[in-house]
Amino acid sequence: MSVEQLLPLVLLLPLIGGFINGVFGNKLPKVVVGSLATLLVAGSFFIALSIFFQLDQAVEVKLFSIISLPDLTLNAKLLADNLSIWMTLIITGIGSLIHLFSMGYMSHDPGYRKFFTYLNLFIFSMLILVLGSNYFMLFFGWEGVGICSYLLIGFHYADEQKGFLNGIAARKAFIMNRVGDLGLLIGLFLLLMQFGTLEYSEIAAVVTAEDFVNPTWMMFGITMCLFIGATGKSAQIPLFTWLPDAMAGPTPVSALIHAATMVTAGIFLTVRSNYLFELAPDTQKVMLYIGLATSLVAAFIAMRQNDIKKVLAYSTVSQLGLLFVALGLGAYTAAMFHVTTHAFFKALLFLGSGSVIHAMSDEQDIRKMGGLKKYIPVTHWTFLIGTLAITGFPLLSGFYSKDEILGYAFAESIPLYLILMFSVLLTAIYMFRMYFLVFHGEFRGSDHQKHHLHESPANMTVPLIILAILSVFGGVLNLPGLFLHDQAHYMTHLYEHNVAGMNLIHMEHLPSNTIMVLMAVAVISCLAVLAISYQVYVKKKSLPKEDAQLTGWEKVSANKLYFDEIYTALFVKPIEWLSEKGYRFFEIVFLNGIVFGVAKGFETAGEVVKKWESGRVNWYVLWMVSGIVGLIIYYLVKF
Amino acid sequence: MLALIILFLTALVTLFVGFAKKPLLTLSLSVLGLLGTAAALICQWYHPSDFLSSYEGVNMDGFAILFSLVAIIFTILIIFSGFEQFKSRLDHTADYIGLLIFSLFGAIVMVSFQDMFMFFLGLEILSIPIYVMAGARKDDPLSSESSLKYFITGAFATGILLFGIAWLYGATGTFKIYEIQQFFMEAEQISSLAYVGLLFILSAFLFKIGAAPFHFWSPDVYDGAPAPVTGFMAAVVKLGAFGAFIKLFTIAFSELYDFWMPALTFLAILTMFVGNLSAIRQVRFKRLLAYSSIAHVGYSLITMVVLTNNSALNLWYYLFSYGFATIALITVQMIVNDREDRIEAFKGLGRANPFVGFVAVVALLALAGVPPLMGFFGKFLIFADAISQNPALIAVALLNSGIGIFYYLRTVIVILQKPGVDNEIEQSEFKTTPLQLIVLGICVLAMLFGGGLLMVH
Amino acid sequence: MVLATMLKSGVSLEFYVILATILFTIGVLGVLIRKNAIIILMCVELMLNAVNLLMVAFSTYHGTGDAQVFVFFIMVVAAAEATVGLSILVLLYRNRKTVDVGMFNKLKG
Repeated sequence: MSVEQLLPLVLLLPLIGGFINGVFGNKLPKVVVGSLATLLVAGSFFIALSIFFQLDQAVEVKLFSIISLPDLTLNAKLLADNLSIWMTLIITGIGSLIHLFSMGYMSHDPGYRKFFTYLNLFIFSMLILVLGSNYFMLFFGWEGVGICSYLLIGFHYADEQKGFLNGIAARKAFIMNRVGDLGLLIGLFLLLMQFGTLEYSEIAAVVTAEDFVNPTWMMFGITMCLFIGATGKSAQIPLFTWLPDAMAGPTPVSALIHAATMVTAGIFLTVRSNYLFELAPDTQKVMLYIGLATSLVAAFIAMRQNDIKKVLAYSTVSQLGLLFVALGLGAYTAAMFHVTTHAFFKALLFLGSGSVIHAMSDEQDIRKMGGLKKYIPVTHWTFLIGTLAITGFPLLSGFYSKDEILGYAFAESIPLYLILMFSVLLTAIYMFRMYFLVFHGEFRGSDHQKHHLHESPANMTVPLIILAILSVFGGVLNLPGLFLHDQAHYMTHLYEHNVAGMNLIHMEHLPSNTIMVLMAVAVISCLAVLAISYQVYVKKKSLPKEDAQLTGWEKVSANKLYFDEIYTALFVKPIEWLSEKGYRFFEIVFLNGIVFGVAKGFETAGEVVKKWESGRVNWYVLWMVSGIVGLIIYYLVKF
Repeated sequence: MLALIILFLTALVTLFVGFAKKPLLTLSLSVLGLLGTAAALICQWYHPSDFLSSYEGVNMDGFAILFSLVAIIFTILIIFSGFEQFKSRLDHTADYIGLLIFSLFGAIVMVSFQDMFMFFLGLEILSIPIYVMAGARKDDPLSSESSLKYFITGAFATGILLFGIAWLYGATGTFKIYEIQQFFMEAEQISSLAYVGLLFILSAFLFKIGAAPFHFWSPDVYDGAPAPVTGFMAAVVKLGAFGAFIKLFTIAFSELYDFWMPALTFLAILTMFVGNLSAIRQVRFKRLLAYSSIAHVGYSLITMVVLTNNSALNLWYYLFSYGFATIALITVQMIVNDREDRIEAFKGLGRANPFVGFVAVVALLALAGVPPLMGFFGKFLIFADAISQNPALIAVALLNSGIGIFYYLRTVIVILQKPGVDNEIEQSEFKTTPLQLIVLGICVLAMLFGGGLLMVH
Repeated sequence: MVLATMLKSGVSLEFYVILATILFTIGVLGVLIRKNAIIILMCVELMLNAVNLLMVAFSTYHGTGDAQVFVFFIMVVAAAEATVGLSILVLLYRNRKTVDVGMFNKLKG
């Protein structure tokens, strides 16, 4: 079948899954629900794969028209080019692995069917986001993943102990995303104002035309708005605090939505709009520094977190910051490469942590773990691979993608490179700290937990193993010369081939001996951290201190740099104060006065007018006569 | 003409079949006849030359056909929904239906007239059966009271109309509307006779459509008359009267637009306010409908105030949408069947009978003009057409729509409330007949998807 | 002398118009003032007859026969209206034993 026929199918399968599970789920056995959801997403993946191999030029498929006005046409249209299909492969590929994992992980949950419905709907929305051919479709998917994320974070809202907090976390994510979404929406309106269309291809054609005059401020406005949208979804400063809280959701959700796919939507948006960002260097600068700051701050906070998922969450934020640094440098391909490898190893780490939590009877505190490697060997080995990949251990996937970004940073400026390198070092430190605390040393949990320790079932370990393999070998995807005769990087070649705007961007490549030096620095620092961590946590068996004993920087880190407190003091409190006062005066006195006053006025008027209808027919005739007399008087006055 | 003849024969046959005392036979024959009339009208649309078209008194042009078709649809719907009531008086079933069809005949004549003869006859044929029908519940004092009030005011209005026609004739010397138009175009000096005649005719029209201050009959008559007749008056009579109104004033009096427009503007505003304000405090449902219909007359008059090429079609569409909503509500009223017709009696309808409740809510929202219902498009067309010419008038109309939403939504809330636990109001049984369900189904489909009609025109 | 002139030249149009208007006004006032439904009905008939007079007068003035035909229409319709009106009155009398329109004020507000 041709791409045009296949493309809607990619979207349709998860939607069908969501529909069937949502509507008939309660009548179906659990196995059917789970495997249906998993198989449909896997089906999407294989369809996307076949599209990927036969795709040459970008293909647009129009499904139907949403709005058709003289000045505004919005179509539900799909676009298949190497970028969107690449994203689709990540989403459906990792998605189907995580679906498989969830079948084991959620097996005891009463909301099993609901969970798979949401998960399928999430995949559907995410696919709309990446496959749409215009910003409107992107926005539609953007909101769709937002709502699914909200539903899934608060999935255990009815939990007796943590239900309330889960609800709060979901709300926080939703509200913070709303701030970003507003930015995105304004960006879309500005785009519409400037270009009169939201189609990527049309905007790209206008912008890349040779006689295009760059409206500098407009471009800055548009790209800043898009970037604000991206900071919301991709958890950048100042809108990042929702992501760690989002770990309240079930672990597969954290893996799928809050690590591998949804949070990369902002990256996708930026790469998709590369031709716009190229015209707004100021925005790129902003993006660069925000990314850098986020990367550092999040890595710093991760240093002293004790919740296994929180560490991973901050690590995700930090990695996203790194990605925005790459985007700010204009290294779109490098960013996409890192998105891919990050999706592999971060999904692996999250699923691994899920497996750990599962084994530990829902315990998430790493202080209560330790020595797990002999109880859950598969999880241990895969987790180790994930940890090595994210820290940039030589020849694993993270090594390639991270080094590429570091290389571009080096080419930009040395201080930038050093700061980024520092953040990478921090990453290595907290990741090894966590790894050693969880899997080495003595078991520190309760006897009850110890008794229950067990390796996860096959449907949970198989995804781990597959992801581990991908994390090891994912790096080859962007090797120079792979599958090709010339020396171009594989993904660069792929994107330049048919993604709008990408062929106009040329990154300076560093001389190969510089690259070698940088690589050596990275490798040495990674190994050094590994060795020191081993010394500290395995040989000296040092354990995290209790919260009360923390001092200095550790306390600041453990308290997440007081971001939540600052936001509460800066935004929440004043707004609460304002709404309290507003309610008192504006609502009760002013609005109620007006509303009820007007209503009362009309009711009184109605009462008066009602009296006019006296019930006596003579009066009716009299009023008719007076009407006629009035009309005749009108005539006499007029002439 | 063929359509009129079929319709006339239908009415006659219906009356005579009544002797057989077989309600279903009467119903099917009359509906068959009405469908035949509609078919004849549709033929006329495609083949304008009728074998009887040489008569100059009536002319079935596109305008007349559109208005007539809608009137026929409404009549069928009302006969369906009121059939249960008609049937309860077996010896009069055929009379009720026959009289309604005669009245419809009058309405069709009124939208197709070419001279004052036919106009006058049409008006009387439209009105006289309604005088009778309003008093159809012979043992109900309220019904006869409404009949009396309608008759006295109606007969009085007839006198006014004829007086006006006589003056107009005195000024122009002709009864033919195109000749009158011609006269006003060519006359150098228009005598005061013509203006006074025009004002009298205008008054009679305002009476018939129920515009302030000639509206007083309508709440009482709507209230007292049997529900199907109320529906007929609101839907069909109004359609006929408006059809004749816009026809006469856009053809015969088009040259005097500057003269009658300001007066009509003022009266349109007055009508809107009277209708909406009085409706706020109503406790009886048919009275509420009556005042709402007065308010809607006010909105409809805007098309006359702002005459554009689209006016007739906008008016037609508006009355079309209004008719469906009103017929749906009248049908719901018959289903609720409260002896005193209290709005309170609708309590719990939404739970007791979700479909009927849904239709009632949709109809009320359509009257309030909530998108994407047909009523919204009707209002939208009128307002959009007028806003450039007379923004102040539209502002007033929008304010009035706001007032309207108040009492429509209040009724919606009553419908959606839980059934009352207190025993003060005995719970209605909400019994429906299949025919009523059909009517409700058609109405709700029309209201939900009637906006699509705009694509056609 | 005046009478003689009038008789010679025929009564001029104005007089017919004035007379018809007076008759019509009397009819209107009757409908307004009287409470007895039968008298109201008669007053309506008076209004219609005033119109008839006016029609005939104008018809002669314009020299066309249209209006005279119209008069017959009016008479027919008036008869029909009177029939219906009287039967409504009978109905009312049966229900309430009165034809005083002032008594029929149950429907209001």
